[in-house]
Amino acid sequence: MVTLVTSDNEKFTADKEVAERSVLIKNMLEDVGESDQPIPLPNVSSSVLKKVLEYCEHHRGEPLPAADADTTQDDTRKRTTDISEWDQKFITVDQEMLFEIILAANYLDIKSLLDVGCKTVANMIKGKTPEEIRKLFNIVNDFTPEEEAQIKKENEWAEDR
Amino acid sequence: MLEPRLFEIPELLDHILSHLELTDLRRSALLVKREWAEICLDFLWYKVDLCVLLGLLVPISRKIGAKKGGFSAEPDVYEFDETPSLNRLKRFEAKYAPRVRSITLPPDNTDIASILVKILLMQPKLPLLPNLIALDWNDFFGGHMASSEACAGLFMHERVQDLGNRAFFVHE
Repeated sequence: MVTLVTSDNEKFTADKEVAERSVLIKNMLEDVGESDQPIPLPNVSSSVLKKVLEYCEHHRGEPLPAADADTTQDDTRKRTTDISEWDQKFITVDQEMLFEIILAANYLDIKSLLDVGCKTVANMIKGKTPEEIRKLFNIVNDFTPEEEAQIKKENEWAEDR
Repeated sequence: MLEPRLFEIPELLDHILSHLELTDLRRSALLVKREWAEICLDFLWYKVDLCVLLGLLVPISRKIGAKKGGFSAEPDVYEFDETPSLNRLKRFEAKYAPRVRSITLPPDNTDIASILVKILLMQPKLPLLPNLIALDWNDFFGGHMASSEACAGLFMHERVQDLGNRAFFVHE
């Protein structure tokens, strides 16, 4: 078993196999060797780690994706936003928790969870106008009207592809 | 409410936007804010038709070639509607040219010589697309490249490695 300590000082115990779905934790465990020393996770709160461990537990034993599994030689776009049914249910959380899970997946280096989170945000963006996206995520438009018009005009062709 | 921290991390924003189709990138994400636009432009201009790309300088018109017995006797000719301004060329070089990794060309029976000559006369920075790695070759374009060293110099450099299945020869 592995003991993990969150930013709000809560301790979680998890099977090594489950915790090692995180490349960060796996590397830390390899560095400390055989030891009962708790692993501090100062960037992850207890509410988020609980969700992350739930995800890792469900996907226990599945092969870990390669670091560059989604990139092809001629295109860096991943295109697909398909999410499995269980993952879909798992990631149906409020926006704040969704973003925290993504940040934690990035910090803990759990590629499949990061993908699920990023695909979910991409699905939220799909079909919305720029103004709707800004409103949804509380983003301030920093374009001048001239810049916005120019970049829109220069990219109109993308419609045809 | 503050803007989410998530979007301040370029790698994560890149990851999110990488899952969007071109239409959503262009219609929506591109116009959200400047940082979003920079990432969207990388995706939108990664692989592009050459005439679409050069149309950023000045709109391009296509004149359909004469046909005989249902077959094209003369090539379709693409031409700039006017001579591009130096400012347009500078914006093209700064904002778009470095993002292009792969270009597709118009069909074989297409003449784009006039466009290429006009660009050459403006003395652009060469190569025109410094990060190009793949060029979807065709015979007509190949003919231009082979017969004109200057024309070849517009596009060819050591990082261009993928020419489809065609060999590339420049006449001595």
